[in-house]
Amino acid sequence: MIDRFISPETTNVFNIHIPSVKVCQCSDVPLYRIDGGVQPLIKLDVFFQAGDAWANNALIPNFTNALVLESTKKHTSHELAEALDFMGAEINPLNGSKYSCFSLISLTKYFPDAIKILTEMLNEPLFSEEDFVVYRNNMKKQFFVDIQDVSYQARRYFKALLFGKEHPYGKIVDENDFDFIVPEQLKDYFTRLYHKKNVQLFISGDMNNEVLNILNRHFTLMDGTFPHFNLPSVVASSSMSRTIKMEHAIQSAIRIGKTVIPKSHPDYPALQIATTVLGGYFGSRLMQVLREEKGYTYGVGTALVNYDEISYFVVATEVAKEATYDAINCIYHEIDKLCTEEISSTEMENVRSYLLGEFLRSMDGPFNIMETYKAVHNINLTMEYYTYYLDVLTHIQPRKILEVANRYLVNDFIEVIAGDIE
Amino acid sequence: MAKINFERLVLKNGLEIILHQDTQTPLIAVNTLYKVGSRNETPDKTGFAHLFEHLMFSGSSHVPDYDTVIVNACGENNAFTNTDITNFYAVIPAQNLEVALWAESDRMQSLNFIQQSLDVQRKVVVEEFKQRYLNKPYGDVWHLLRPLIYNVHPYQWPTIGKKIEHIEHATMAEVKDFYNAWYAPNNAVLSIAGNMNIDKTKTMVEKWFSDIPPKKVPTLHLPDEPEKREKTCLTVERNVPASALYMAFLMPERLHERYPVYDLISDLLCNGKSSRLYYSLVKEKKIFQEIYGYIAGSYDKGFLMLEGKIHDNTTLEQAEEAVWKELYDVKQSLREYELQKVKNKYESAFISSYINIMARAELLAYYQTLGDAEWFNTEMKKYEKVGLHDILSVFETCLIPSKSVVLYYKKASL
Repeated sequence: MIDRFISPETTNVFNIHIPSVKVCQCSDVPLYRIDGGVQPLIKLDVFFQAGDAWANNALIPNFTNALVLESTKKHTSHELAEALDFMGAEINPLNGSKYSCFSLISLTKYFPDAIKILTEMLNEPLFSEEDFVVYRNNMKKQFFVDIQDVSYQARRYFKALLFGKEHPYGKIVDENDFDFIVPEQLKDYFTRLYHKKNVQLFISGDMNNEVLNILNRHFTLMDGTFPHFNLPSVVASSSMSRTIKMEHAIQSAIRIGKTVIPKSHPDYPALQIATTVLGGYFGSRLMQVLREEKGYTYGVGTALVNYDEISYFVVATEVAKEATYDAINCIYHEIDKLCTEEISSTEMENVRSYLLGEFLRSMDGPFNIMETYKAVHNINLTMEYYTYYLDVLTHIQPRKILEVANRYLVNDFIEVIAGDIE
Repeated sequence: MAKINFERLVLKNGLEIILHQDTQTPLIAVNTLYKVGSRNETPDKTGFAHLFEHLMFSGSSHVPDYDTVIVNACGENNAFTNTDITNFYAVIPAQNLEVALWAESDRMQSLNFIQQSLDVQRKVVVEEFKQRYLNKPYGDVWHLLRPLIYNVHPYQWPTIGKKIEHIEHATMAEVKDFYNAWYAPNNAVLSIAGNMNIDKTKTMVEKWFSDIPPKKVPTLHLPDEPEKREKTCLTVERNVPASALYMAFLMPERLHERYPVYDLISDLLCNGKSSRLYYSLVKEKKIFQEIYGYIAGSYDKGFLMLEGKIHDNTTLEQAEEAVWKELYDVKQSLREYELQKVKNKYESAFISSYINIMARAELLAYYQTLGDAEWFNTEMKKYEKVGLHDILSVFETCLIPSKSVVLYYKKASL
C-alpha cells in the first residue's frame, strides 16, 4: 500500500530561459519575431501608436479600426469578407488608450493571401457613409445594452474618476458621442496615425524565411510624419467615491483602486506580488474572505494596469446586493491588514510558487511569449524587465511586501459602486 | 495536418488514461473528466452537478486543500460543468507532475464532506447564478428556451439549475449520494498532455490511481427527445433596450453522422462577415443589430440556435420572416464554393482550438468519452466529407417552421 499522507516531492527551482525576440526590418518598419509552435498558424500584429490620446471623441479609435476592416477603394466589404472567410483567416482590431492594433491570425498556407488583404485595408480604406451608418447604429444599440450591466458601469466610471474625464486615459463613451461622430473624423484620424512612421509589426508562430519574404514584398504602408503628442500629465488620484444607481440590480459591482507606480519603477515587481497576495489568485485573501468564508460573491480579483508613466491598482467584484457595504468594508480591511502586518512565510511561499508558475505559463509557446514581450515593449521596457522581476520574485521576503503595501496602497482610494443601493 | 499522437491504457478499476507527449513545452496538463453533468440530474434537484464541482475543492482524506497543493507546485487549476460532463484540470511544471496525480487521485478516492463547505458553496453558486443569468440583460434567456426545446429530456434545464431554490436546498446526504454514484474511476477519463516520459508517467498513474476501487455506476435511461411536429412560440416582455429574436432547431446527437452538417450550417448562416444572415440582415437590410448562429452539441440531441437583437424600426414578426426568407434562399442558391468556404473556416478554427496543451488534454479526454480519443485525429475528415446534398437536405427537412422553437424577447413598452 502507498502512503497517501506523504506528498510527492515538488520543486520550485526551474531553469527558466527568457527567450529573446528577433528584431529586424520589414519594408522599413520594425519587425519583432518569435518562431515556433506545433500548429501551422501565424499571428501578425500591426501595431500603431494611436488611441484615445489622439482623438477628441472617445468613439473615433474604435470606429476607425472597425471601418478599416470594411470597404476599400478597390473592393466592397463583402468581397473582402468573402476572401478572408474563405481562408478562415481573422483580423481583429484592438483599441487601447495609446495604441491601435490589428491582429491577423491565419493558417500558414493562407498567410500570403491574407497579408495582401490586410495591406489593402490599411492603405486604401474607403470609410464609406454606408458602412459607417450601419456600424454606428449597431454600436449605439449595443451601448444601451452594455449600460444595463453593473460591471460595465462600474468599470466605466472607475476610470473616469481615476484619471478625470478630460484625460485620454479616463475618457468614457457617452450617448452623445454617437450623434456627433462623422466619417470625416475617422479619415482625418486615420491619415494622421496609420502610416509607416508610426507602426511596428509583431509576428509569431509557424515561421520561415519564405513567410518573411512574402511579408516584405506585400506589406507596405503610406509614408507619414511621426505624430508628436504631448499627453497631459496624469495627476495621482485622490480619494473619491461614486454610486451609480441601477434599479432592480440584485448584485452590486464594486471597483476600488488608485494610481500607483509604473512598471519601470524598481518597487513594481514587489508591488505586483503584494497585490497578488490580496486578490491575484484563488488562494488570495479577498477570494478567501469574500467568497470562501462569506459566500458574498462568485469571484473577486485585483489587477494592475500599466501605462508608460503610471499604473493603476484595482479591486473588482460583483456581490449580493445585501452584502454590498460589508464587502466594501472587508476590502478596505484586507488592504489595511496588508499594510500593517507582515504576511506569514507560508503565504509568502504560496504566492511565490503561484507567480513562478504564472511566469512559466506566460513563456509557453510563441503566441504567449509574444504577448509577454509586447506587455513590456509597449511601455518602453525590454525583456530584461523579466530577469529583474524573476530575481525579485525568487528572493522577496514578507518585510518587503509590507513595505511596498504601506508605501503604495494607503489612502486616496477611488471607490465606485453600481447597483440598486442608496 | 500533423497527427496528435497519444498512448492509451485502462486500469483494472476501469479508469481510462490518455497520454500525449509534447517536448516543446515545460508544462504538463492533467485533465480529469467525469462522465456526469446536468443530464444526470432529476427535475426537482437541478444545478446539482455544477454545485458538486465546487465541492470537489473542499479537500480529501490526505489532501486538505487541493488548490494550495497545486499552487505550491507552481500550477494552476480549475473546472467546468456542462450538460454532459464535469471536467477538472491542472497545468503544472513538468517536474511536479506527480503531486498533481496524488492530489487528483485522492479526491477521486475519498473526498471530504464538510457541512460548512456546502453552506458556503451554495451561496457562492447562488451568486454565480445571479451574476451570469439574473443580473445581466437577456440573462434569463436559457431558462426560457431550454424548456421549450426539450419537453422530456433533462437538457430542459440549464447546467446552473432551474432555480436558485434547488441549490439552496441541496443537502449533505445528496452530496454524498452523488459522489458515490458518479465520481468513480470507471466513470472517468484521465488525460495527461505535455513534457513527460511516457513510461515513467504510466508508472506514476498506476501508483496513485490503481488502488481506487471501482463503483457501481448507475445506468441512465434518458428519454429520447421527440422531433418537433409543430412550431413552438413564446413571447416575453423585459426591460431591455432592444427586442431580440431566438430561433432554435433540435439537431442530432454528437456522434450522429449529420452532426458536422449542422455545425457547418451554423457557420454558413452566421459565422463571419460574409455569412448569409450577417451580410443580408445586418449589413444589407439593417434589420438586426447583430446576429449569431451556433450549435449546442451534446451527447444526446442538441440544437442549432439563431439569435439576434433587432433595430427599433422593425418588429420581431418582420425579423423572423426575414430569417425564414434567407433560409429559403440558401436552398436555392447554395454552391460548392460556399460549402468549401465554411469547411476552410472550420479547419482554421479547429486547428486554433488546441494551441496549448491544456486544450489538447481536454479534447483528447472528451473524444475518449465519446468513444475513442483517436476521433480527435479523424474529426476534420468527417467535415470534409459533407456534401451539398447533406446541407440541402437539412434545410429541406429540419430547418422548417414546424420544427422551430421561436422566442420573442420583447423590449417592454414604457
